[in-house]
Amino acid sequence: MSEPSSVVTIVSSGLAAGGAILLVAATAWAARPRRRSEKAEEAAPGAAAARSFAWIVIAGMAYSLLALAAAVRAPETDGLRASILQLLAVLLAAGLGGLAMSGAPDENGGRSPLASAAVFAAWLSLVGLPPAVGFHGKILVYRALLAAGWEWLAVIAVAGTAAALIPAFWALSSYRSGPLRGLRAVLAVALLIAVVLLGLYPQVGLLAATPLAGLASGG
Amino acid sequence: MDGIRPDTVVLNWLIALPFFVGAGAALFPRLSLPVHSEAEAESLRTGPFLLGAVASLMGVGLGISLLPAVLGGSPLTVDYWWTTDLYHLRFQADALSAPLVIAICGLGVLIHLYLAGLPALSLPHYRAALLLAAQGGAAAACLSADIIVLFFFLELTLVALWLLTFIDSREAANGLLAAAHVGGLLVLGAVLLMWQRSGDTSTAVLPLLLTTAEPEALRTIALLLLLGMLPKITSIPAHGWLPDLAGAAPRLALAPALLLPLAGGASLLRLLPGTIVVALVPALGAIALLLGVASLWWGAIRAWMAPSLLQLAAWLTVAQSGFSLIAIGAAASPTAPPELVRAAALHLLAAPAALVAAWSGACIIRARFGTDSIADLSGLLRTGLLPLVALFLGGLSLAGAPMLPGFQVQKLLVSGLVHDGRLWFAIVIVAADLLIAVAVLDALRRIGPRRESPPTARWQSAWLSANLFLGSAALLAVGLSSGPLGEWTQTVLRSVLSISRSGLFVSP
Repeated sequence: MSEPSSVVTIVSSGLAAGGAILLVAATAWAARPRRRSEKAEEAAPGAAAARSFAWIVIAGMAYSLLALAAAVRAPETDGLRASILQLLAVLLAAGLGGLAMSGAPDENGGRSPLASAAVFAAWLSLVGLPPAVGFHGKILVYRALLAAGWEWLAVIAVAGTAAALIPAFWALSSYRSGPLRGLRAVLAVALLIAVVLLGLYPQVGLLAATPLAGLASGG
Repeated sequence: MDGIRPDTVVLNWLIALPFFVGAGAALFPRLSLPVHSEAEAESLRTGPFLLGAVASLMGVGLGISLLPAVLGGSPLTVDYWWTTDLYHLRFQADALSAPLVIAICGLGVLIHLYLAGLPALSLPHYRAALLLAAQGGAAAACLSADIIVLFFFLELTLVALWLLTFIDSREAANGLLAAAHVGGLLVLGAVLLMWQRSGDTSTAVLPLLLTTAEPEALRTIALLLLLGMLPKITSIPAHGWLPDLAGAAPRLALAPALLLPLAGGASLLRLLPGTIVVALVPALGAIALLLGVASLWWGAIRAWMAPSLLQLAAWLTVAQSGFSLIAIGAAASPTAPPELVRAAALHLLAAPAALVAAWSGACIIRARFGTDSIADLSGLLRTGLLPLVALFLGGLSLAGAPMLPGFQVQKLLVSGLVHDGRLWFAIVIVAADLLIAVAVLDALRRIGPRRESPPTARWQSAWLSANLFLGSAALLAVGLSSGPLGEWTQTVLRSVLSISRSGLFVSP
């Protein structure tokens, strides 16, 4: 790896620091113990789980930022593709989870299998577990950070992933799915298929990321 | 290309089978006729599990058909066209992976029969599909010839087991995922370092790491691998999820208790050959030995104190992880006799055979009698003989009793340690064996035929009896086939581990 110029160092370090701070803050905010007033809010079903989900989506964006920082610091690290694939994974998960959580819970206590599967898949992708696309996104991000010589950032990123399990467990345990119907159901099915298929075969996402990465790098 | 080998086709089917059948079990739960009675409803619930048992049995058959070729020294590799920039989707059946896949599919048969015998399980088709996914993931992890693919399938196994147990107990399932996934992230760190240092993700290039990577990186890789696998093989200090799961989700503890340690142990043995640097760093070998002795003794003591049969099985499993770590830690020494590596390999088959009998016995007693508390089961010998026999055959095998598979492992391990001049370790292991035997026999004494009115079984199921018969028979068969198994460990030693052992003497 050649020695980066001072501008590159400043930009990449700024991006890395910003990404790390965003990752730590968003994950900590999602995993923080709830105050009494917030527990009372649980009367509004799903609100607290959705809030945790939103914070972890922001943390997911921070991973993309970290990979971008690695790409700026060392273009040969494949960081741009990692950043784009991770961004794709987060957007798909956010769309999927957002759709599934937008329905009001069934008053009779019934559960929607589609909404439950969608929320599970969205969380799986956000915490980087197979068979969701987030698994590959995060692996590429970690690899880019290691290749850029930022082992400490890779450790923070991995620790962030482990910490994301806390809000995931809490949200999945407290979440009550509402029914998904009509266009929302169709969209949820499409996103669910995309999250799982890209998780099983990430090459499609990588192929899409390659020209974008080329454009971004001026290639 | 000189044509397609017939066994390549078999390997393709072996890899694909559980996933296709699992998808079928999940997507088509109501292929049968409308239900007219309660009895029909009960029989319908067994359908997906019996389908899974048949698929697993086919997996055993396919695996056995591969054995002659791979044990003959010609590993079989298949590459899939949908390979990616990230990894090569490549699987390899060799002397190590093929018998382990047979073991995983065999465990799958028994777990499916057990679940088929339980009445009123909700969502049976999802459970069957998840169990097949876990089983397929574990088998694929064993067969993977790419480190990223191996990690993917290892974590897929974990996710499937998490979802499987999540239906019964969310807290216990989350405990399983938290412990094992945090360990998985450490393993991922090791995998990424291997990838970075070797420039490739194939397991074939791992031995080269010994000569190309710097010592610090090798130390880090070995440490991350060792620590990351601890929760998966239920070793101290990352073992707590299993006793918790046994208490909170007793019906479904069987699957994670058997599949995850086997998949974890197999992955550890698969990844270690290229990076077995413990010998270069005596402190790491000492850590493995220390954790092994701690797991063995803590597991044995807690098994002795266990108030219930499921807790007894859980702590016996923890104790077993100690044998694996002791064998691996001791085998890493450049002067270690080959018996220690053979013991580690044999333990991968002998321990699951014993554990499936012990766990099945405990789970079935709990299901049939409504309790697994040892204090409440006095007189069980007269009404629940079969599960009791399975439980104690399994327990005694874990203690290394003669005629049972655990005996062969203990014999290799103890003789290896004595030859290596580690007499004290051998004594520590034999003493722990005695404690495990005391724990098992003490439980038998307390359950024995002392009370006038034995506990009443709530119901009977032929599938549960089939599970116990097959589990006990498999245990005895493995115990009595010491000759072929001994030859198998020699083959493993030659074909898989010889690379790393010769590499140990090359200074990186």
